Amino acid sequence: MLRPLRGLSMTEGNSARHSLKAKTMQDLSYLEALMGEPVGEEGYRDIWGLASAVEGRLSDLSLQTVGKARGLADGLGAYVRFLLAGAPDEETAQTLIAHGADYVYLAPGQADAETLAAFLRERKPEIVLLDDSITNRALAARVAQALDASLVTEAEDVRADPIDRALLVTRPIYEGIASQVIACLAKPQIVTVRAGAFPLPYPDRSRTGSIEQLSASWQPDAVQYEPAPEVASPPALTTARIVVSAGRGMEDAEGFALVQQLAARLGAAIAGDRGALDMGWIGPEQQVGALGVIVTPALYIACGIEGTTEHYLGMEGARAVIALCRESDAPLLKAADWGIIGSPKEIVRALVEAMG
Amino acid sequence: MRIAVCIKQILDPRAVRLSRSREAIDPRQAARIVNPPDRYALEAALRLRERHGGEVIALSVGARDVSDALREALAMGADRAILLSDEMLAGADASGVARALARAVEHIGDVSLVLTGERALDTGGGTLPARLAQELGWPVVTDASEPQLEDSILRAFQRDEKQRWSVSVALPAVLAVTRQREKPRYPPALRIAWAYREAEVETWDCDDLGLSPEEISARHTEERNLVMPPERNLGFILSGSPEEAARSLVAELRGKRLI
Repeated sequence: MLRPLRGLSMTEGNSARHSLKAKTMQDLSYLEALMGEPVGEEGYRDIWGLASAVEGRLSDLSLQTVGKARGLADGLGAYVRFLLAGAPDEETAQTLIAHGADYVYLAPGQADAETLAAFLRERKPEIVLLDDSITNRALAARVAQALDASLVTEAEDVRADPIDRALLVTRPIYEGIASQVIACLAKPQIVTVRAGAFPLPYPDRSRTGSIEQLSASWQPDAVQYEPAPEVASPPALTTARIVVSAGRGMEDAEGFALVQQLAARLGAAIAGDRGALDMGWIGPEQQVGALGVIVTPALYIACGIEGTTEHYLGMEGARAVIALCRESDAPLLKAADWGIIGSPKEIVRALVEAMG
Repeated sequence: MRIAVCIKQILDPRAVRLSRSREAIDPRQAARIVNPPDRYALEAALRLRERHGGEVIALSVGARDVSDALREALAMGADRAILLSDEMLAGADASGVARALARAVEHIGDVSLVLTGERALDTGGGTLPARLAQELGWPVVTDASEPQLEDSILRAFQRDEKQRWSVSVALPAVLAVTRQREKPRYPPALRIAWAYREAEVETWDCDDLGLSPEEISARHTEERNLVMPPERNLGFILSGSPEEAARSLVAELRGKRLI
């Protein structure tokens, strides 16, 4: 009888041969880790990450990523090695270690693709985890292309196949109507991890690890960046991820101002139903309905809309709906995932406050 | 100035439905359209051409029916349309497609700017612009808006997770645009008729580009099963005072990562 190994989940139906194979791989990897040199022809090993310290702090996402790296490493028998860019110091390096890193390499500055690719080509990581951001997605894409690596962006879940160690990464498709599991076939396996995909790990200040200063430095970027003034431009209605929609139930201009506040707080597009159009709060191009605009956001928040069929036909494609209605028999409540009954004005005000 | 615009034909993401019983995407209602961000890229290219002169070339990869997407680009105002079509490319992933597009840009010659949409709204991971830039050895600006040209410096805005940036880069470069203020134009009727009846979509295969199968056919990732979102449970009423109900709603939304 084979006992399941630490961190390896033996799912039902795995044959003994598979379990044996998994066990051998696990042991081989531990052996590699102990020997400090690659065993086997490929020699791709360990989990590498890239974090950036800003003003002596790491983002929550970076901590979630290092926590996930720790979890994967425990299952695979690997070390967690993190490059710490930005303005790294001893303290942020210790924070990374407390959250799961074994080795931290201080590499001040902004990471660039050429240097990172050259570094990873030499170190041959089995897995590379990065925080998902606009900058990191481009960085990861360039590195993956240069190394002929596998890359999955915007990961919602990452696990290792217990049989062949390949990463199985879940990411959204078609703007989030479902998620797709993608298997990585090439090494290194590069993944950018979405914010909030994994819990914030509990720091263990007694963990020890090694901190090293890297001598090599990053190359300057060919693109010049300068901070630009913010322009408040609400997203286009038909493509917005969140739509906040007002109806006559908001009563007056003050009520509609609350809806605008809620939308600004969420970075949402503002819309309304026929009632809002009649009140002069919105233009015809913002009216949601069969006779107006048809919207398909991830979240639709209807404030003070009781819900006509005409309005319903304009928003039935929303993936989640919230209805804030005065009457308990408002038709929209039946089509909503969550409903709150009461004065829409008061509820919207409370919502803005609850979001902090 | 020569501008190449890379466009992708996708299933209309607003019309794609889920089939829970088959655990699959149900594309029957979905028409094939030009990926919306790519249309904004085309619009940005046409505007740059109007101000600075030059030529706009639309590029796409796929089977013959993708030429419809390119005809739409011609109708909007592109000067040339080139389809990279080859059996070998049919199985290529983002890496192979980027390689083929880069080779095509080099083959066209004298291209100083490649524009494309920030991402494909079907199954795209948003990696193509940077992959293409890597293949060309050019810098890339992703999630850019309002591109402007001054001498041979390209200026644009980029919004990342925290703030808005003003970026500038010397050409040649790859620029991936987000949705802009300037909406993609609706083509004039005569031009539509010309694009679909008379205009020529050039077709290049791997031989024309000098691409070998090894360069483009390597698979780096493999699509497995779909994960269905949880079933919706409609009609749930949150009770309590407005403050209590609002707090529990915000907690629910944060838990489900909707906000």
